[in-house]
Amino acid sequence: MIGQVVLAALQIVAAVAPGFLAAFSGHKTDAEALATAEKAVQTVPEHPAEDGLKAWREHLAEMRKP
Amino acid sequence: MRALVLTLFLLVGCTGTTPVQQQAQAIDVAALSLGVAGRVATEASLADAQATCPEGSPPECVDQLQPRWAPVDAAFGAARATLGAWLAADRLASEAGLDPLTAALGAVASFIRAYEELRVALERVHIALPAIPPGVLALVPATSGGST
Repeated sequence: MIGQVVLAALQIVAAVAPGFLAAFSGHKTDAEALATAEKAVQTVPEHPAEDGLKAWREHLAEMRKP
Repeated sequence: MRALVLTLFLLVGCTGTTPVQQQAQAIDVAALSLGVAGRVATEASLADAQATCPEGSPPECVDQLQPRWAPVDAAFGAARATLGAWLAADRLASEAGLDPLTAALGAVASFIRAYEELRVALERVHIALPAIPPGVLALVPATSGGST
């Protein structure tokens, strides 16, 4: 479980780093910056945990089909 | 250190050329962080389901895990909503010629609260998010007492 925690933390850092670099790239207009931020907000999952449970539930159901 | 960097980005903004861009970039960074945390949560809940309900289990077996993971999804939903409010405040400031930081202060405070609640929810399922320093949390209304 500890390994999972460390892995998760590393994944976060690794994936966020490009975002920090992108943030430093600069935008030409406020509208462009707002549009980029809006896209980023839309990528935040609403039900990430349920997505994982649902995937396995569907897998189990599929395996039981004759 | 990560927590400090995150906090600075949230409170001060990034390096945009205008205050609106600074806020937008801070929102961008915060959203990217939550997006990654969401993917980690999906992988972790899937692994939990696989361990609890191995191949051959009835699909309903997975339902028993919902109480454990529902708080995580609730916290993600709340954090996502506060980011949306922050973005709306920044957009309004841009359109109305207001100071973005002043306009977004309430939304930023809400996001910090939601982030902390998400961090606690993820901690309960053994997923680590960088913590916001207690000194910063104490500055945010209604969080100085802690919310564990």
